[in-house]
Amino acid sequence: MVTKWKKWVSVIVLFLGLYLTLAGCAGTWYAVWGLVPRGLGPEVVFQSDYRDTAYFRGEMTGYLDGILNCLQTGDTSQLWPGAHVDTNLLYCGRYYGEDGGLVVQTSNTDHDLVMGAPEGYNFLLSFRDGKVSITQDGEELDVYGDGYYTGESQWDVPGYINRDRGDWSGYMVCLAVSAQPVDHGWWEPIWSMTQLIAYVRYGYLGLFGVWAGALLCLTLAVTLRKARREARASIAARTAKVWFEVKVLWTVLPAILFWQLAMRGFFWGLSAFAAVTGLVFLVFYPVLLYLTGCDLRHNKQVWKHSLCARLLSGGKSAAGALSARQGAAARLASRVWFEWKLLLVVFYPFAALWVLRRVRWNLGYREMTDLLFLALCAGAALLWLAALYVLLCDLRCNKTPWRHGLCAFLLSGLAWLWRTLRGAELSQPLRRRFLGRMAAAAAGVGVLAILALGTVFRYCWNHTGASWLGSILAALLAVLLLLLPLAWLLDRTWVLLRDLFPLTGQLAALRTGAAPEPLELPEGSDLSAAAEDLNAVREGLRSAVAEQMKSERMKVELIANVSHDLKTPLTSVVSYAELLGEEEDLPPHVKDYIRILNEKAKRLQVMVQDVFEVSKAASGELPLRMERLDLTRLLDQTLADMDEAIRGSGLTLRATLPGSPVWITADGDRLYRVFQNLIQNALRYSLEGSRVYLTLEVREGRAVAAVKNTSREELPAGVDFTARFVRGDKSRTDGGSGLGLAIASSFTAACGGTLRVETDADLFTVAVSFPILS
Amino acid sequence: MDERILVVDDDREIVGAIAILLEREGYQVLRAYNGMEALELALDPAIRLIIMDVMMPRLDGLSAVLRIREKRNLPIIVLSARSEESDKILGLSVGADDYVTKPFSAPELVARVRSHLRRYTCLGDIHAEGRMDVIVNGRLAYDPEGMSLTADGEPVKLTATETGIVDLLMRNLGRIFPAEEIYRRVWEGECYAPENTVMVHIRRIREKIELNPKKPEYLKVVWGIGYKMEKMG
Repeated sequence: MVTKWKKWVSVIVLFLGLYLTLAGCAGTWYAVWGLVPRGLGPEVVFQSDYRDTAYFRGEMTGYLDGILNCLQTGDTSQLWPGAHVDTNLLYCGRYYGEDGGLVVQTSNTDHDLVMGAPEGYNFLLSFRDGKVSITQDGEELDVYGDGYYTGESQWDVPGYINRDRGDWSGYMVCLAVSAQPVDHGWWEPIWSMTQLIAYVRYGYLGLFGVWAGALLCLTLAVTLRKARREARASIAARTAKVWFEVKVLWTVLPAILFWQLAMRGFFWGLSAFAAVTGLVFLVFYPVLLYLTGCDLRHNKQVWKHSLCARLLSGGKSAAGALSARQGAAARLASRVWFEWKLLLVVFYPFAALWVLRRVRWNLGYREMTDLLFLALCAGAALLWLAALYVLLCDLRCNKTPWRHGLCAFLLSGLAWLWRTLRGAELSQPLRRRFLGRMAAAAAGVGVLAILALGTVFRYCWNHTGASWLGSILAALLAVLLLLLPLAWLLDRTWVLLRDLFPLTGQLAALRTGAAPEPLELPEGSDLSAAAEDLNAVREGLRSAVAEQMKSERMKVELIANVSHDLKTPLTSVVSYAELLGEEEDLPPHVKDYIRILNEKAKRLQVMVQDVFEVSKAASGELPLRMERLDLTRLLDQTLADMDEAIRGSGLTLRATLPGSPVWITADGDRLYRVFQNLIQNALRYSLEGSRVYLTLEVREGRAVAAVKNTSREELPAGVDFTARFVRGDKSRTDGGSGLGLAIASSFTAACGGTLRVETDADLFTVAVSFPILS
Repeated sequence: MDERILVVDDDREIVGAIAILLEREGYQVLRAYNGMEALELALDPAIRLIIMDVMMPRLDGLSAVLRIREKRNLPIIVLSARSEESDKILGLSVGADDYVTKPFSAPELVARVRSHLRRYTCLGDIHAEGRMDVIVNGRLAYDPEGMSLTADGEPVKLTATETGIVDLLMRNLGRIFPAEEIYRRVWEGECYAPENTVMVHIRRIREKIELNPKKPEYLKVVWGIGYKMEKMG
């Protein structure tokens, strides 16, 4: 296991080695091509006295040549700037003509240098009659050696045997160099030379250091390559989280940018800005490349983790943070009109390209603007990507997002307008509706006719040269010919409509139940057959209604009569049974018989009454007194009324009623019967000791009262308990008439409510629901 | 007792049963089996009350009642198997004083007969006294000052609470009172679930003043709203 710091050091060392190598190469290149030719080879590092360097010798030779040149041309102003006040380098040049007289003289000192160097000057170069003699620190230097100029010769001055021997007789030049050069504050040869040599010396030292460092780092990097492998894995693990697009961007974009800038000569201006930019590229680009390389090497299918993949992956990546972000984006997008989004995504690129081109033009092609422009482009592209992302989210997460748009809004507005106008028209009676339509049509035709008239008139007037009266007549004739069929059609339509109105009136009257007179239409009307049909239907309907009413009356009559005929003998039975029960001296078993007789007679009485009522309710003949009442109170009252029966049953009744009134419309007496029956049923058929639940709640605008109980007997499946004479137990031996639920159901229906029976195993539930009054 | 009652019904057994019931109470019973017979017998001035069936041969009960009303002013109880509201209204409007549906309950019928007879003979006294402050409602008469109630002229014994309820309802005939209000005004306090308490007392009062407490005529529940004392015409 490689320690963490070792891992990172391996990478840092590699890059350091790389950069140092690069720097060393650059330095060496500069030294070889820039410094060595000027006499500033690496040996300057070891030469403590600058006067021993080749550079010094070269420079001094240069000044000697310069002064000789001056003497030859006679122009003494062609020396280095500030030469006449220089104290570090004293000079004196003379030229004696053929006759030995002084022709030209130049000097910056009062000393006669021919006589020797003045005080404080320890280097003297004297040139006289084509020969150079140099005195350094009081010693004479051997300038010419064996007199032949070779590659090893240190001084490149006139006077060698094998070189072109110019005629230097009469020329005399002396150059004296100060032992302690001083800074005058401006450029002058000797001081600058000492400075330059010092810098170069440091530079060489630095270069050596850089190479040594590079070597060290690279050696280290090589030794730490195992650690670096781990580092690469760690880097890859981190880069794996970055979108592939970003990686491509950082790999490709700098290269393109660098190439572009290099092509445009950005770096060759040698400005500080260009240098820094180049340096930044040089420093960071390898790092980025390395990151990408690690990623490519260690991660499989690097392109899988990318923005495009995410956008395209659909439902797979719907879970998690991205989906939440998408949801948020979709919510945001849902508030914006769809047209805006589409416009942004489709037209924005073109607009952006146009604007960017203009911007590029206006900025001009300067160093800074390239970067600025690139940044602008990147921003624009990012904006477009963001818009695309939002649109995709919108399309994915929101259903029919195009419904929320300007077009949809306008369309719905138009639809609304159309509906309103249509509704307004439809609310008119048929007659007025058609009159309006025909008036509109007539107006349209009139306008058309006038236009046609004008056109025909102009045609006749201009082209045939006829008189204006003739033209008008011709136009009128033409238009009339055109209009005649139309007028005929309108007339026929009008006749049809005139017959249609009574027909529809008749239909409306029929619907309201009135029995209007038979419809008579004029002879030859298009609708006479329809009118006859309608008359037949009306006749049939009237007879059917009459028949129905007769039948209903008979039914009710029958019920009443049957009920009467049953009750009359029953009265006798009940009465005499009661009388018999009041006889005193009877044997006990006879008394028992009488008790049974009494009971059964009473039950028969109840049943007859129940049958009567349920029949009436079924035939819709139940008289009702509908009023506004509080269902909560009604249940309270019913419970109070049945208190004794509930107590006597041995069951527990749990009532859950709301504390507030629940107002409904119903017949109180009938509804009391409903709940009385339901509770009686529950008490009668419940398992001993079980609980009966009475609840009332308000749900979705309806008051629902439910009675729930646990049946004693097993409840048969698939039985309609609200049918007449249906009972849970097959034996029919209990005290009920079998009509309790039937009565409750029909009474509830008569009051405008619904009664529903549900059975779940032994749980028997009856729910009565009524619409509540607001 | 020499009060004669005419019982008319085409069913001889029913007439017989009613006769037995009434004779046991000490009334003399005359029997008729159709409308015509009833008309003849009704002229007997000793007859104080008529019990009349509706559906009979020769002359039906309602026509007979109309004819008898022309000549005599005496209580007529119509006895019919038709229990429709419309039938009851028709019967009462032709001049009958009461309408009892078949099959009837014997005690109720007897109670009604007694009630009508007592009123026919005694009720005149109350009116004669001319006490304006007595509230008269059908069989009931309530004296707010003495807080005493009479039914058919006979005093009804009521407890203090019952008197309170009767006082409230008799003073406001026909007005419907929710249980809370009755409780608040009679008990003078608040109660969480007054329905049961009030209902218990109402039931007791009914037993004292109604002819058939199972089918109350005076003290009625208006389902889903409250309680009221029916105002009798």
